[in-house]
Amino acid sequence: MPKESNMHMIRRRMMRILATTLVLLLVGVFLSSCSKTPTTSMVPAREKIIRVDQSWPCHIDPAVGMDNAADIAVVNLYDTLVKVGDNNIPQPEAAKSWDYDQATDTYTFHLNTGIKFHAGGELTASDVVFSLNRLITIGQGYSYLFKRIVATCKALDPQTVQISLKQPYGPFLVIVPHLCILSEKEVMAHIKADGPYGSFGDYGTDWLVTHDAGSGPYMVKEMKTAESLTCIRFPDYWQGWDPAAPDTFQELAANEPVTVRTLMSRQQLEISDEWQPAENYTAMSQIPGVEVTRFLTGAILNLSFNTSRPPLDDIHFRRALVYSFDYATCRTLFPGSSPTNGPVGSGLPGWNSSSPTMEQDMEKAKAELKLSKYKSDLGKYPVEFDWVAEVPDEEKVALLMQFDCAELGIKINVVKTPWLTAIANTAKANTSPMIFAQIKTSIAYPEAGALLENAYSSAGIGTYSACHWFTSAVQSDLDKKINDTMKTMDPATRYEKYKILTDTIVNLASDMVCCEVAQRHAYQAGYLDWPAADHAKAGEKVNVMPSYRMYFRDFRFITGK
Amino acid sequence: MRMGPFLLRRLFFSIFVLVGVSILIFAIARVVPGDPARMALGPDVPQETVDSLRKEMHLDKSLPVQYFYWVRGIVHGDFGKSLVSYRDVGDDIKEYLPATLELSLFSTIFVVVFSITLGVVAARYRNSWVDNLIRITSYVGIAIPPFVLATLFLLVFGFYWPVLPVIGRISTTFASVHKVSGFLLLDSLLSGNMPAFWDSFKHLLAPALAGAMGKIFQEARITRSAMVDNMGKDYLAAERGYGIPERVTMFKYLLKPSFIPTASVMGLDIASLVSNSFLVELIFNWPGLSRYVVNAMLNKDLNAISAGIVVFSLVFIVVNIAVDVIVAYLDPRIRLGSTKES
Amino acid sequence: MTTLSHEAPPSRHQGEYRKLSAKDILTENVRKYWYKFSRNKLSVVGLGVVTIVVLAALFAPWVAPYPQHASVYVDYKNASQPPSFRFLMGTDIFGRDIFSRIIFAFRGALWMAILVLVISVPIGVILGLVAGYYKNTWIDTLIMRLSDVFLAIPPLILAMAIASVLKPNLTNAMLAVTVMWWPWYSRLVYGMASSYRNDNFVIAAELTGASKGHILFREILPNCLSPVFTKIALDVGWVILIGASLSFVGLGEQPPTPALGQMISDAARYMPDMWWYTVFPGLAIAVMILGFNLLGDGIRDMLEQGLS
Repeated sequence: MPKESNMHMIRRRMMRILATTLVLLLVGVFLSSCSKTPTTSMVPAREKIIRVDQSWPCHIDPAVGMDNAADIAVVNLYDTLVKVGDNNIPQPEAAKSWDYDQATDTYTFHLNTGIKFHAGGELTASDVVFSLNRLITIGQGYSYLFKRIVATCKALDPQTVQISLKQPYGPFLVIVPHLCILSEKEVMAHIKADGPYGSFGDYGTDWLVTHDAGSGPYMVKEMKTAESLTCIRFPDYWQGWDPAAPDTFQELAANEPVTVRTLMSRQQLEISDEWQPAENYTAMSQIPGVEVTRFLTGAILNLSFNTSRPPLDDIHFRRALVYSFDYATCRTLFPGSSPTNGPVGSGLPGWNSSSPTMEQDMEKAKAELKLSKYKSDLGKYPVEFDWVAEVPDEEKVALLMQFDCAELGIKINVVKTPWLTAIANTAKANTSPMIFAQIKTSIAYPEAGALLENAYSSAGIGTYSACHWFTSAVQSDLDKKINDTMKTMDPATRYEKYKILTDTIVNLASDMVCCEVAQRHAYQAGYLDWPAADHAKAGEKVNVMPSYRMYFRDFRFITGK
Repeated sequence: MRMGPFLLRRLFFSIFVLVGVSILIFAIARVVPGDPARMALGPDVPQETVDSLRKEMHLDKSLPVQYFYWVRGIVHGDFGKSLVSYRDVGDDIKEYLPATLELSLFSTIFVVVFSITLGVVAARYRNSWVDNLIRITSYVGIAIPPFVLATLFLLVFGFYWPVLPVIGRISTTFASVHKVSGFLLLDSLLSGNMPAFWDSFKHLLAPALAGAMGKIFQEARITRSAMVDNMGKDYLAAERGYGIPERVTMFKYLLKPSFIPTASVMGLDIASLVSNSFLVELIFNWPGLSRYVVNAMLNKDLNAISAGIVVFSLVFIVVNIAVDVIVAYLDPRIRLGSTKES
Repeated sequence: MTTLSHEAPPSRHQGEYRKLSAKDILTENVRKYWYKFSRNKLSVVGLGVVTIVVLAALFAPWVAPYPQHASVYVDYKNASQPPSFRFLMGTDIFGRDIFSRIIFAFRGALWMAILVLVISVPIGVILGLVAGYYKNTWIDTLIMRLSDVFLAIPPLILAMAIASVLKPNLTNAMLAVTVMWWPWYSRLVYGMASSYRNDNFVIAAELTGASKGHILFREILPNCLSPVFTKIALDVGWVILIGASLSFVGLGEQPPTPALGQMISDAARYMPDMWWYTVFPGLAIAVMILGFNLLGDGIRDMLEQGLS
C-alpha cells in the first residue's frame, strides 16, 4: 500500500508540473501576442498588394461571370480587342485599328503582335474567334450582348479578325470590351470530355472556375472559391510595367461592414466595395489615411414593377406608387445622391436633361389611386417588395415605401432576398418579384442603352435586369423603338432616340427610380494613388464602366509610405 | 468485455439511421420548386442544353431512381455541382470541412478542460464563495446565446481591446500555408512556419471560446452536482478512512463515475458543435462548412444543402458512437451488459 | 399528502369532528411546493423575471412607450440615436425605438415557445408511451429508429433546412422547430414507460382487462409526468434560443415585426458606434433565457420526489 501511494504521489507531482508548464506556456503566448501591436506590415517596405472586398460569387470564367467581383477580375486578367477609355470612347487594345463596312455590317479588326498569353504562346485571330464562339455557345455572362447581333466571326489571317453582324448595331464597339480573349490552346488542353457541348466537352468551364487563360497584366495565383482570389503580376505583359504599379491584387469575399472596417483600419484592405451601409463610410472616413471617393456615373436606385402581377398590372396603381414615394428623404439615406428624372442617370450619354425630376406628390397619388380598379380592394392585394440582402441600405428604402404607402392604404410586405435567389426568381413571370429593388451600377457599356436595352426589350426577359413582364402590346412597341435606336450608327442621333425611349418608359410607370446614387469606396489614400478617385476629386470625367475604374495596372503605390 | 457486439449493434443501427437521414434530406431537397438544371445553367442558356443536363442529372426519371443515383454518386464522392460556387460540392466540402473540424476540436478542448476544472473546483469547495461565484457565472453563461456572445467578442476584441484577431483563420499578410491536412495549426507546424502557427492559434481563440462558453458552464454544473451527489457515497468514506489524500480521491475515484452524466451531455454537445458552429462562423467570418451550408440554404443550393446535412449527420453519428464507447469504458456497468438500450 | 378522513386533527373545537376540506389540502400542497421551490433564492428571481417578461409581452401595447414603432413605421430624422430619456434604449437605423421593439419581440418569442411545446410534447409523449409499452416489438423499433433519425440530424441544421425550404416566416420557423423537438420527449418517456411496463400495477391492470388506452394514459402516464414537466420548463429557454438563432439567420419573423435574433444580426453591422443596437437586444435575450432557466430549475426542485 505505501509503495502504491508513493507512486501516486510521484505521478501526481509530475502531472502537476506538466500542467503548470502547459498553462505557463499558453499564458506566455497570450502575453507575447498582447505586446505586439496588431497592425500590419511585418516587413519594412510596404508590399505592393491591393486588396479589395466584394460580394461573392466571383465567376472568373469570362463566358460565365457577370457579377461585380468577376468584372474586376476579368478586366485585369484578360485583354480585349478594344477598351473603353476615360472619355468613354473606344480605344485600341489587342486590336490596333479597325474598319467598318456599312454595307455588310462587318467590322474588321487588325491585331497587335507580340501579345503573350500567361501560359505561353501568342494571341492570334483564331483565339478571338474561339473566344467569341465559346461565349455565345455557353450563353451566360455577357453573351446576351453578342448573341442577338453577331452573325459570323472569322479569322482572315493570324492578325485579322472579321465579325459580321446580323443588323447594324450602334454601340458595337463599346460592347466589344466584354469579349475577353482566351488562349484556345490552353482551354482545349483542360476540357473535360463529357459535357453538354459536344466535341468541346464542358468547354473548360470546370477548369476556368479556378484558373485563367488570358493575356492580361495579371494572372491567377490562387482562387479559393467563396473566399478569395489572388492574382500576381504577369511580367511579360506586352504593354510593359511601371515599377510603382501593384504586384499583386486580391479580391476578398468579406463584405460584412464590421470586417471591412476592421481590415481598413489595420491597413489590411486597400479598397472597400461600393455596397457598404452609409454609416460605415462615415466611420471609415475617420480612419487616418482613408478617404471615401464618390463616383457619379449614372447608376440609379431602381425599383422595377412586375406589371403582370395584380395589382401592379394597373397603370394607375403604379402611378399612384410613383407619386407617393418620399424621394427627398430617400436621398438623405444615400449621401451624395441626386434627384432623377427617368430610368437613366445623368452621368450617361443619352440622358434626357429636359425631363422633370421625380418628387413626392400625395395629391396626385390619391387621384391616380381613385382611377385604379383596385381602389376598393387594397387590403386584398398586398404588394411584395424584394430587396437584395447583400445591400442593407435597400431595406431603408423598403420600409420608407411601406410607411408612405400605408397612408394611402396600400399594404407593402418587405422581403429580404439573397441575390442568387432573386436572380432565380426573375426567370418566370409568376415568381418574379412584384417590386424589385436594384442599384444598377453595372453599366455594360457607356451609353443609356446599357440601362435600357436589356431591361426593356424582349431579349432580356428572364434575366434579373428585365423583370417587368409587359403585355405583348406594350412589349412589341418597346421592342420596335429599342431596335430602331440601337440600329442607329451615328452616336448623336442615337442619344436623341434614347431620350424618346426614356420618355415612353416614364409614361408607362413601369419603374420607380428613387435617386441617382453615387458609388462610394473607402480607400487608403495615404499610400495608394487611384487614378479614377483623383479624377473624381478634381471634378473631371470618370470612366463610366466600374470595372475599368479598377484596372490595377494604372494604380500607383506612393513611394515612402 | 462485450464491446464487440455492442459496437456492432450501434454501427448497424447507425447505418440505418444514416439511410433514414439521407431519404429525409433528399425528400426535402426535391420538394423545392424550380428546375435544378435550369438553375445550374442560368436563364440565358438555350433549352436544348438544359434538357441534355436534365438527362445527365437523371431528372427525367422517377424519384426512387433519382435517389438511387444520388446515393451512388455520394458513395463515389460525387455530390453534384454547387449553384453558388459552380464547382463540385465535394471539392467545396474538402475545402471547408477541415476549417470547421479544427474550430470544433479547439472548442472541444476548451469545453473538456474548463468544464471539468470548474466542476471539480466547485465541488471541492462546495458552498464557499468559489462555488457560488461559479454557480452565478454558470447561470449567466448558459443564458447568453452563442451568437450574442460572439457578437460581443467581436465588439470587444475587434474595437475596444484588440488583443485577438476576429476575422478569418489567418491574417491576410501571410502567404498560403502549404496544405497537408487542412488544419492550419497542424500544417504550419509540419512546414515549420512558426509565425503562421501562432497567428492561426490566435485566430482560433475567440471563435472557439465563444462557441464553447455556454457548454463549459452547463457541463461544469452537471459535473459539480454529480460529484456532490457521489461525495456522500460509502466507498469514498472508506478511502478517506484509509488515509488516501483528498486530491487522489477527487480525481481518481470520484471523477470517473461522476463524469458519466457529464460525458453523455458532453458527447451530444461536441457532436453538435460541428453543426451549430455556423452562428460563430458567420460572425467571425470563419470559412467553415457550417457557414457554407447556411449560405447554401439561404441560396437554395440544393446539392450543397443535401451534402452538407449528410456530412454533418455522419459526424454527429460518429461522435455519438465514440462518446458511447468512452462512456462504456468509464462505466463498467454498461460494459458488463446491463441492457440500457439507446 | 393525505390524512385519513375519520381522524380529526386536534382543534380548538373539542369534540367536533372536522374533515379536511379540499381547500386545506390544496393550501398544504401549495405551501409544500412553494417551500421546495423557494429554497433556492435564484428560482424566485427566475419566477420574477418570467412574470415581468410575460406581463410585458401580454400588455405590450400599453407597456411600450412607442407601440407603433413595432409595426410599419420609419422616422429617419431620429435614426441611430443613442439611449436618452426620450428613447430609453436608443433608436435603430430606421428611427424606431428599440425598447418598444424589444417588448414586442418578447411576444413572438413566447408565442413560438408555447406553440412549439404544446404541439411537440403531446406527440413525443404519446409516441414514447406507445413505444415503451410495446417494447421489443416492431412498434418500438419503428418509433425509436424514427426518432433516432430526427435526432441524428443536428437540431439547428434540421430546423434551418426546413425553414429555408419553406417561405421564411414565424409559422414555418415554428413548424421546423416542432418537427425537430418531439424526439427528445419520446426518448424521455420511452425510458420511463418501458421500465414501468413491467411493474406490478401495470400487470395488474392488464390482468383485470383494462383497455390499452386506460393502461397507457391512466396508469403509466401519470408516473412519467414529473420529469416531463421539468423538461418542459427547462425547454422554454431552449426553444427561445433556437428561435432567436433562426431569426438571426433571417428565418423567423419578417420585418417590420421585431424579433430579438434578427435585431442582433442587423445590429452587428453597425458596431461599435451603435453599440446600443446590439447590447440591449442581447441583454434582453440573455435575461429572458436566464429567467426561464432559473424558473425551470426551481420547478425541477419542486417536483423532485423527496428532499435532496
